[in-house]
Amino acid sequence: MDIFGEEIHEFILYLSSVGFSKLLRVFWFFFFFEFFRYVLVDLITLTFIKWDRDRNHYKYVDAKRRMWLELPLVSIIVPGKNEGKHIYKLTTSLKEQTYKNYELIIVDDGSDDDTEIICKSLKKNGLIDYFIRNEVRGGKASGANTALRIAKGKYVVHLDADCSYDFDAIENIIVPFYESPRVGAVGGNVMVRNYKESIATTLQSFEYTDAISIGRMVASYLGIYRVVSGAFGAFRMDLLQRVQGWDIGPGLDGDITVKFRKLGYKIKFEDRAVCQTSVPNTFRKLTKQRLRWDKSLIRFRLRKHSDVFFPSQNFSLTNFISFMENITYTLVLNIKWYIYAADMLFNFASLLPFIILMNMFLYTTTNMFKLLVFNIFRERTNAPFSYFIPYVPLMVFYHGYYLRFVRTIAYIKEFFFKESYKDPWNPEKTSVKALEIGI
Amino acid sequence: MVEDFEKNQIIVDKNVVTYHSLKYFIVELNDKLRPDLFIKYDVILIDIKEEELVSYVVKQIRTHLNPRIYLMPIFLLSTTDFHEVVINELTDGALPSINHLDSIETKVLDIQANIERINHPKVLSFEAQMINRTLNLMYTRNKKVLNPLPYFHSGIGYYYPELSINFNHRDENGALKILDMAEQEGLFQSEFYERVYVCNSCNGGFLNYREVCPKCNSSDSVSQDLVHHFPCAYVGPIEDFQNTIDDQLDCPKCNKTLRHIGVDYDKPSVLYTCNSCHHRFQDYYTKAKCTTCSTENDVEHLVPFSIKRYIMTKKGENVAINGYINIEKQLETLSGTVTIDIFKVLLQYEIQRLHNIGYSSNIGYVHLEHAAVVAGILGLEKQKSLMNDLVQMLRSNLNPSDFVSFYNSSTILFSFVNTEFKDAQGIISEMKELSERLLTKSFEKVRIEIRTDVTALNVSSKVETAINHMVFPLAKM
Ligand SMILES: [Zn+2]
Ligand SMILES: [Zn+2]
Ligand SMILES: [Zn+2]
Repeated sequence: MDIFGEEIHEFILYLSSVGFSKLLRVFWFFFFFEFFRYVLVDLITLTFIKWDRDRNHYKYVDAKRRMWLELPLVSIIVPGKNEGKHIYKLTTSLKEQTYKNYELIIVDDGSDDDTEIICKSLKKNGLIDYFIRNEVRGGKASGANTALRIAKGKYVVHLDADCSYDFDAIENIIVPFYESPRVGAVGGNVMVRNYKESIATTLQSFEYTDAISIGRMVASYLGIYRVVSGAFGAFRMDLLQRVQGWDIGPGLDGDITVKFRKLGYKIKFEDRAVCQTSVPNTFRKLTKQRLRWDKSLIRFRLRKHSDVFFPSQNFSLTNFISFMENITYTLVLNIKWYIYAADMLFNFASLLPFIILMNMFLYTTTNMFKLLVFNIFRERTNAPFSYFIPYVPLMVFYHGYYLRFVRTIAYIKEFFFKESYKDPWNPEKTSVKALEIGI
Repeated sequence: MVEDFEKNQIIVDKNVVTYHSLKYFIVELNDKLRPDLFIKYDVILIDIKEEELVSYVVKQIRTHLNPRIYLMPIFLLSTTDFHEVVINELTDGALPSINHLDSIETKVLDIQANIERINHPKVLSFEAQMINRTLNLMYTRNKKVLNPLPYFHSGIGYYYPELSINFNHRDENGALKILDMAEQEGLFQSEFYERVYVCNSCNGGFLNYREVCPKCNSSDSVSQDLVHHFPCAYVGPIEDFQNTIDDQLDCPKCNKTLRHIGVDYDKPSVLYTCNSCHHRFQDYYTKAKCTTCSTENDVEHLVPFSIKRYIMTKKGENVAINGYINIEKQLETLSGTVTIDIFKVLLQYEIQRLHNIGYSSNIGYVHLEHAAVVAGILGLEKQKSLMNDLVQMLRSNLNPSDFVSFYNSSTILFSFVNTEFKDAQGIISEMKELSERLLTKSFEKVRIEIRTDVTALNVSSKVETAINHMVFPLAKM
């Protein structure tokens, strides 16, 4: 510690002697990309959101009133494999909902456990409205599409069986449709239920409350919100019918929202519609999950929906920006970071220990700042923000190194080897077909 | 042989044949059936071809109250093969013509000898009557085993001819309760044969099992195959893929033609659409609709009954000859009643109290006449509820300190504590009137008779004798 203390002191002396321009030169990656996008843009936008919400509160109240007046039927669809063990808890969580005019549709996609028995008995007891079993697995998309075929609601809420929901979650996720007729889909706010379980879950919980939740609030406000979470998302039935349901995953959540955007509809994030989920409790499982998520970026942004980048009759500027922002801040930035690392390695090799330390300092301070300040903008949290304070330094490794590394692997695998088509997450029969037609 | 027949045959009139001192009565198609008169004959010959009518005649005889009639040998004067269980099991044989009386004579004499051996103690309870009838019929026919016979007309699907004949189809399961009782008494041993399920609400066995819409119970629905197109994950019923031009199946989402099941598409499930409420579902509910009372039974709520074979024991044989009387202990207690044992204990205390000067107590009964007939007409359940009504009526006319008990399923005993005999007589005649009014009100078409009596107790009364003495006249009837 003493040695470090001295070195830091030396480093600070060095920095003050080189001046601000030199500082920017050494930490360009942080200042130009990360600080700008994730602190400045976020902070300014959040301020706007808060101001907007306060000023237009009556509009929100009015939208809610109109929703209650109309009382639209909401079809809650839950496709899944071997989810039977979660379904009873899910039905009880739904029974608590303030919004009661819903039908619950469970699709069992070829489960090989007790799911069928459990669901049939729940159905018999009136806890499930529809239960459809596919003897052979067809994949998440076909499961959702099966449910869609039966659903009669004006809105479709897509849920994951292993999530639980705030008592007003369904109500809150439907309200945005009444705020604007151009809203096509609404994403719910996913929080981490098992945030205390392990370091992995705590760090993910931090990520969900900060990067994901805040990130989506900002993106939604700026009109570049992309992925309606599969764990909790609401869709207009007429639009789902127009796009004829979900396409084959993984990444089908992101895919369907792109299709909605292409139709010219807005995708909203509703932070007040809260759902809690259990996240992978080991880094091993987390890596597997993130590899799948990250691969879908390549597959869906760059391959399937590449038309967004080119002028055509359906061209939309926000779609273009949304895609560009996504590509820039994930793919390009990921590559840039390696350039930055190389830049530092070759040009500032002697300063490397200081640069790493300084970077850690910068990111930790930023994260701490965001944790404390952004808390003002969160209307609902599941963990006290103070719980995360000790973990803030770890987030540098989590965000800066771990996630970045996983992302890089995923991109390489997908870009060069089209690995997502081999993902056992989809049944092989559907992946083969998807690969053939290039989606 | 023929001469012998000619010589001994005396035709008394159109329907009666006397041969070898046996009197045969021939039941023909256009006769007015009067089973009461059969008592004058030894054998009944049925000369009718119509199965239904034959069955009707057999039933009239075998359900008659008088043992001499219900045990009477019955033969068919016919070469026709009948399929009716009632006919085949409850008649004693057939002969091709009146000229073949010799062929049945031994059997007739054997049955008659058996009948002679039987004592017929007067029993009051319906259950005991049923047990006796069954055992008598079996014994006189040298039958040791009561087999359940599959029978289309049976309310529970199986028929124990000698017993079930006494029940109308909708409460035939009453036969099972009686057999249970008889088995517990050691009159039969049983072997499991089959399990049947009956309606939860009326115990009827006429059930229509069908697959219904889980929402509205309608059985009117159509099925559709759901098709999953792999490349685009479209899922929909097959008609979504059909076109008007050719037989090809085209995906409505991606316009591709479906090629090969299992390769580019499959049919993961079947979906039913209810034509009556448009509900969509994958699993029918199986419901059993009772054709008797129209209840829609969930199959898991049907009431199971074990169908068994019953083999008459030595005790059973003994009882078949001497008659079966003690059925009272099986009676359930209705609310407002005490068991007969408690009744007796309470009565004992009552007799003690009679030592007090000026204290008088009485006992009385209300008896439903011809319980077996009544049960046959009303059904066991209705009879039970009738008894319940009677008990409630009695209770409201008695002092709270009085106690009521079933002597048997058709006789209710009760006390008139601390009441003058004269007053008790007054109350009981009022009760008789009330009961009769209740009965005519409840069962307009059926005439049910009530008998009542009251007896004063005195210090030297013995509980058993007091009760037996009072109900004795009933047994003599
Ligand atoms: Zn019934
Ligand atoms: Zn297709
Ligand atoms: Zn229906």
